[in-house]
Amino acid sequence: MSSYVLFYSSNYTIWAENTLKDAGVECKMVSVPREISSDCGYCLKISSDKKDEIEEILRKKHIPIEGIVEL
Amino acid sequence: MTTQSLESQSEIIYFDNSATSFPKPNEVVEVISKSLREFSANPGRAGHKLSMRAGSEIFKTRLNLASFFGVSNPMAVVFDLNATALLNLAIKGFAYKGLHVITTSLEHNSTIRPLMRLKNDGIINLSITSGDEDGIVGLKEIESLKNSNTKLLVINHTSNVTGSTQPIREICKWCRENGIVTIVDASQSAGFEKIDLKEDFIDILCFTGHKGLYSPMGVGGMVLADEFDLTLLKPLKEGGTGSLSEEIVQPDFLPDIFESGTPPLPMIAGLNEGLEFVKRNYESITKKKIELESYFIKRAKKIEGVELFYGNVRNGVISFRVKGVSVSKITEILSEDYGIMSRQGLHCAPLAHKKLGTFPEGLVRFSFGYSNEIWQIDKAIEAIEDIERIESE
Repeated sequence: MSSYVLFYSSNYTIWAENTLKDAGVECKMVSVPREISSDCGYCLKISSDKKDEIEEILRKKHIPIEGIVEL
Repeated sequence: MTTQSLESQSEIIYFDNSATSFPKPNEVVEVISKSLREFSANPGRAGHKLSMRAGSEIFKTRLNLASFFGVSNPMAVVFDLNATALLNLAIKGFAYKGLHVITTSLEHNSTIRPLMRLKNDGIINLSITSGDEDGIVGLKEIESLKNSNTKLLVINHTSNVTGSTQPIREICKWCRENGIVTIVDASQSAGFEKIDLKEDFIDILCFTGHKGLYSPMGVGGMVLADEFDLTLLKPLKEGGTGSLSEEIVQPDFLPDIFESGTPPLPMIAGLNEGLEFVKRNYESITKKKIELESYFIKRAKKIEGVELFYGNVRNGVISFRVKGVSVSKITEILSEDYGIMSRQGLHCAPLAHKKLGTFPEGLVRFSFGYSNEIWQIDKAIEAIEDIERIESE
């Protein structure tokens, strides 16, 4: 099952991607699915079972998350 | 170190690096060309791969600059056209009715003009320090100018006329302890003087890319201290940010709050490479500038009728005049007859020239760079000797 981590700006999406990759956590930058938001930017696609770990890593780095949606 | 060498440049001696560094390192030229060929999509504005690649290049530059200037948040690095744009943002975005601002006699017009606009519009009160004979400011003077409304200090780190460098750590520390926000104009010092916002107690640092950081013209940065209260700074422009597009008000978070419109991706990629160039060559660039300036001073001092103006011999910046010859005539002869590029006049710093007693005529300025050589100084000395001799006859 995949989840989508949404950010307030693509600047934060890139920062988060960079941070997660540095931490060795797999993620993929993708367009925000239209089912989730009308925003024109990108978000991170992650494996749902990594959700808690990812939230913790980003919280420690003070990277704000707009939301996490499971599809 | 590599330089861009073109046939047409072989006759040129470029001593105007304070205006803009030239030539740019090959790595900078290459990455700009590569970005235009391979990944110049609109960064952060679309969900496709190329836009993400473009956005990642900009992020990489933010991260590099944040680390270089000692802040932990890469989003606290804001890009705009140049230092002037960012100094206007910092000064006018902070100003409010009744604010008292302290600034120095070595300011460039990029800070003193926005400040004078605010003063003349009745928004702020302004005090300008005198400093010592070189314009260097002491804490006692700042303390004597402070009143209960003093909440901002705007200071030029290194003078573009004399190369004099202010003791910003001491000044900014005192300001921090006294509730005064500091804006440091690092146009001349970024990439040359070591600057660390945390260790130097700086709140807002503004710099341009195209001087000491070797990027092309068209990009500069503002860096905010980790503890800076963002509600103190209003944006001067609003528009598309590629974020919160459903909202019709500007986002309130960094860097989007200050960055509207499509950013100059190739220039920002060039800035990142320029910064890498500085990091690799910092020691040798510094050593060379000191060597060139010291050698020039040693030889120029012996020429009768030449008066030199310089602060601490570190920055490769020195100004001079020749008795009986106008500065415009000197630069014209240097350029036309000797292929030496210099800068004459007031260097957009009328206050600094008033301080030096060289207003309104100004001076001729040489500013040396990494690609200059000792033989070029020899040639310049010969040229100045000729000018002095011929014109005094």
